[in-house]
Amino acid sequence: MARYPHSGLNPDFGKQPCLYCPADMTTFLFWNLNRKPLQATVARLASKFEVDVIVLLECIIQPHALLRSLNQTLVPRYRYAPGIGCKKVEILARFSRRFIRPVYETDRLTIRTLALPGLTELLVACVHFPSKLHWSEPSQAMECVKLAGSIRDAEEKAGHSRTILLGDLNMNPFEDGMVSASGLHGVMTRRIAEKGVRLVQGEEYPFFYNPMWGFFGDVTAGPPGTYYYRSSEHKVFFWNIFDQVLLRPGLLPYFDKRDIEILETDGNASLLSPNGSPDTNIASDHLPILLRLRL
Amino acid sequence: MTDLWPQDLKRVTKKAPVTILKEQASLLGEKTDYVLQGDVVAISGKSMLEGYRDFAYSFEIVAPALEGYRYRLFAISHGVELYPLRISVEDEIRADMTLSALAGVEAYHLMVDSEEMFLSALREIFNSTKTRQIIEAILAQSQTPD
Repeated sequence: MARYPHSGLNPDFGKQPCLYCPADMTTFLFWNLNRKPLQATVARLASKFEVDVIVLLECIIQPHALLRSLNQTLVPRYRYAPGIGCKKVEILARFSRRFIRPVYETDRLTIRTLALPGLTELLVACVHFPSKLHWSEPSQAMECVKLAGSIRDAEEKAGHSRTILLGDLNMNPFEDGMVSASGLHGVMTRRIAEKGVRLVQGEEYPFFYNPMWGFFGDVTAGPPGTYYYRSSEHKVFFWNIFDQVLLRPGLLPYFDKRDIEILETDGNASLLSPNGSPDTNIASDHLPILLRLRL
Repeated sequence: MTDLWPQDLKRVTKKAPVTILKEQASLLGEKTDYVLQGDVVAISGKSMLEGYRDFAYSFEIVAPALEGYRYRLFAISHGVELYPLRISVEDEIRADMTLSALAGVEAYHLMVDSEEMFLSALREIFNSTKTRQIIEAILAQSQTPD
């Protein structure tokens, strides 16, 4: 991908200064916009982080309005890469949509082949699961089984399993569908994921590496989750990580743990309210995620 | 040895839901001059989660001209008894459906308890506005030169 000057140490990268220059990265931005007109914020994020692929959920902004905001100042220009049957996920990219074509879709899922000239080809699966308001945990878990099956089918057709999954799964990384072998089988450490598969009752199940586990709580830098919810029930997590990025082991050589962030600023303004939760007055109730891969 | 089994064991009176789906899948090809095809895919991965059944299939629209692009229109699951059967169908299609044709609604799933009701539900799914829109979109893409 074409690269633009990057300043290196940059206090705008949240609490962590940028310690290295991402010279040859493909950068993904994933954000649930909560049906807000956040095109200016999306454009600032795209500019700040030199985003190559933008994946948006709950996006009510018309594509032409998004493109107008993005392309006012940004070069190369963004192009709209719509799905065919899936309208719940919006994708824009700094290259022709023929390089990120859909191969499998449902109303809530789009699996794309990302095949940029000279770069490693991968599959990008983007999904928005129904919320816990409408689906029970067993239903969500079963949907993970179907999603995992769809991804495996797409991988079989593609002839590789270099897949990233970006999604608002409306589940935390520790929930049944996320961790079960027949579900997404997302594990919390690279070392476990690098084993590739696990045998359960005589059947092999491939792993996903789920780096999102590492963002829980306030021991590590950055926001303690992507979605804040408080209620008067006994069991409340407050911070949840419903928005997740999972990677197949085949992509781990292209991924460094510094290359994934939950963003709390667009470089201009904080996305958090004074109490530390997502500021729904100026942004979404979800925080965006940034992912870089050295393809 | 005494044969204790029923005499008419081989006579099959019920049509399996997957057979019905495969028949309809083949018709999609005929109706679109094979620009599109229907496919029925078994959903793999046994789940022991509560409430889920032994047999699950997804009904997919396939576009060979789009390098095999697939769209999952709906999925079904049922136990060994065939019915009741659960249909997982997207919101916009379900909104088009006449619920009186169905045994009931469970969360985002529809339940049918007979072959007659299953056929009625399939008719409504295939004739829904959203299904037509999806098919038209895939057809349009399939027929667009590169």
